[in-house]
Amino acid sequence: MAEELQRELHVDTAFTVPIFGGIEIYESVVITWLIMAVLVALAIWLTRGLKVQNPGKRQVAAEYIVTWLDQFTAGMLGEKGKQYGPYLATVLIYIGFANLIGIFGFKPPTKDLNVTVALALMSIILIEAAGIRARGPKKWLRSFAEPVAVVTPINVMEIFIRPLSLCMRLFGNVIGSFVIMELIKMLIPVGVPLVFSFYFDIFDGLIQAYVFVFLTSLFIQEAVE
Amino acid sequence: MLRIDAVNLVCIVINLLILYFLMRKFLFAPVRAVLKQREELISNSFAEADGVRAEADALKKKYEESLGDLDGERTRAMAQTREEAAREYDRIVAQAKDQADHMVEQAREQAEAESRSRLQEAAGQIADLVALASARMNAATKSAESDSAIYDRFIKEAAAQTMTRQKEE
Repeated sequence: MAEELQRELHVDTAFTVPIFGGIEIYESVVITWLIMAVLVALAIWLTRGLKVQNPGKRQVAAEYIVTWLDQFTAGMLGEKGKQYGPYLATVLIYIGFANLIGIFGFKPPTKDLNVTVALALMSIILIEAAGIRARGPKKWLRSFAEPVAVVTPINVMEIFIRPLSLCMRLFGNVIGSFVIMELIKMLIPVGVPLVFSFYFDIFDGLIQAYVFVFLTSLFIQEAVE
Repeated sequence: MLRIDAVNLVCIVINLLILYFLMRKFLFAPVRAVLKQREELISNSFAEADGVRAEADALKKKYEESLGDLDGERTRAMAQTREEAAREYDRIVAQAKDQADHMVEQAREQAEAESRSRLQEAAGQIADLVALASARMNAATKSAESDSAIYDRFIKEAAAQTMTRQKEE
């Protein structure tokens, strides 16, 4: 059982690119491609033949989704950070899909530390870039010594702590629920996993997507004000 | 289990950036454009409706003004007509009066002429009577009748003659 679990937890190499002595491409990257393909296809399908008057059901759905995402991100980002809404909306959809994909039998890409590290890195770069853009480099540098100069080391440490906590929270939650789901599936493969799947795959997956985006938005809002 | 690989990390970052741009291009941009267009359409149609309403108000005002004008014009026209009618009435009445006066005058003249001719006729008759009377007087001198009796008879005859003529008239 332990061996089986180990195998499930292992991030498989999907294929190896035969250059520079072989570059291993992980499963998570390939599943990300799959998610991207699905999302883009869905977006194209939803926004096909948009009309200003008398929109069809599909268009109403597309408009509802975009409006909801815009309001959702704008509400967290505030007036000044509104421009970063589409990125955060994309991340929200991606993490949500990545966490839910376990239902369809794929390994969630967010179970791979590379994915959560990448997401967290992008988040911290966006946060600091937004800060620099909104305040200018000098004010941005000075903001580390606020409210008092003593806290400067802590503020500098935050640059590393924030993405680390972001990536570890997401990774830990996803891998935790993945392990539990695998254990349940091994013990009782009928019926019971369904019930637990609702919590671990759907609820926790969506909550983690929300938490990741919420925290990133919060940091951006803090940085731009 | 915890493998961190730079190549895969970069792959994921690139993937996410591509996904972000694709989502912007295929989902956010077109839908936002349509929403904006609709907003513009709605505000435009509101503005248009306001314009139409203003136009209608102006038309109504103009119409009411012309209606007021019409009232004034009608009153003026009626007054004028009344005045003209009164003038015409006066003219007709005056004409009729003139005509009547003329007719009365004519009748009077005619009556006068007639009475003159009657008088002349009467005078002729009186002369005849006088001649007759003098003839009788001459004859009577020869008879036994007295002058006064002859005179009385003459008076009676003359009166009877006048009475009959008056009755005839």
